[in-house]
Amino acid sequence: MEHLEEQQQNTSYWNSVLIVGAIFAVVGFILQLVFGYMQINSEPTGSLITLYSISGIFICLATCIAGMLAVWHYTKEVSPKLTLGQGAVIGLLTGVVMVVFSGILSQFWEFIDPAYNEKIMESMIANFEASSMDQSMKDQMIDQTVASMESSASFMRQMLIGIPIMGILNLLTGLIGVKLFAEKEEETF
Amino acid sequence: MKYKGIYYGMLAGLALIWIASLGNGWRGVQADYTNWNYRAFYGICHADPQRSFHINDVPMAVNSRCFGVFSGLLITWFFIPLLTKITAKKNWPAQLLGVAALLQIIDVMGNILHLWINTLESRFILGALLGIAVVLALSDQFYQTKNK
Repeated sequence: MEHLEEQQQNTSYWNSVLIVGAIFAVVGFILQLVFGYMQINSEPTGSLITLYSISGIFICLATCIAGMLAVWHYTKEVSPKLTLGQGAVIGLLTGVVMVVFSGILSQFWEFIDPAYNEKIMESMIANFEASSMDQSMKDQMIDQTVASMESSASFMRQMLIGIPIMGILNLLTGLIGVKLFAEKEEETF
Repeated sequence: MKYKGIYYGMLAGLALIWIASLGNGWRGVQADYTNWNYRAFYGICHADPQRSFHINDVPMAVNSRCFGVFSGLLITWFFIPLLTKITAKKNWPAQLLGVAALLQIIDVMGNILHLWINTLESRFILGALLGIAVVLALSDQFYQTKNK
């Protein structure tokens, strides 16, 4: 009986993890595409604050709070009682699911628009070229952009590098989620 | 202190993130944006070299604000066992977190709208404040409880 309850609770973790992880991956991916195509279709201004870089701020925020929202979802849908350890697991797994889903979506988009990454790269480079910064800095930023775009092609590499960082950051926001949304025990010091 | 596993696990994880965020400069190697430590923050931080600290003339793997956040998280996390007296049953850590988050939004928006130009140092300080505030707000979760 106890085993059955434990199994049910584990299954319900996964509901929150998969629902929130998938939603955040899809929303982040769509935002990235929308801002990406806006960047591609815009004229180079020379400003370093581009639509694409602004989108990075929102996507970063969104991807880091997923762990917290997965904990919120769990406390609303399954049980308001949650330990810090359970919140940590939910946050960590949400980060992992998000990285995997985002990776799959990126691979899928390569079939739809194989030149997408190249067009983004060209647009960003044109923007750097139009900027007033000194040539060595321009070269450094162009190298960075080219390297980032080229090495993002490998799915396994995305997983290996993305999972630990996103896992840890979402674990942290999962802990914040426990603090904010879970029922607390009476504490004495 | 309870949840020692989470405490030490996160301490190790945050230390790893902090070391990765330093980039290659401390090893005296040029920045290579295909390296794992530079790639690790892709999608989290724009890592614009103009907005990053440099070590030995090599840009870090993250910008100064993110480096501030990671530094604040790591240092304050290390001191969690000593924070009991100042954060237990207090509201100010949560209020500080709200203020720190709001300051980030105001600073980023002000910069985007060209109301002011923030600097490497100002971004680092505001980022560190956010990292410190996150851990302060969480620290009471690690305190020992007694069943009544």
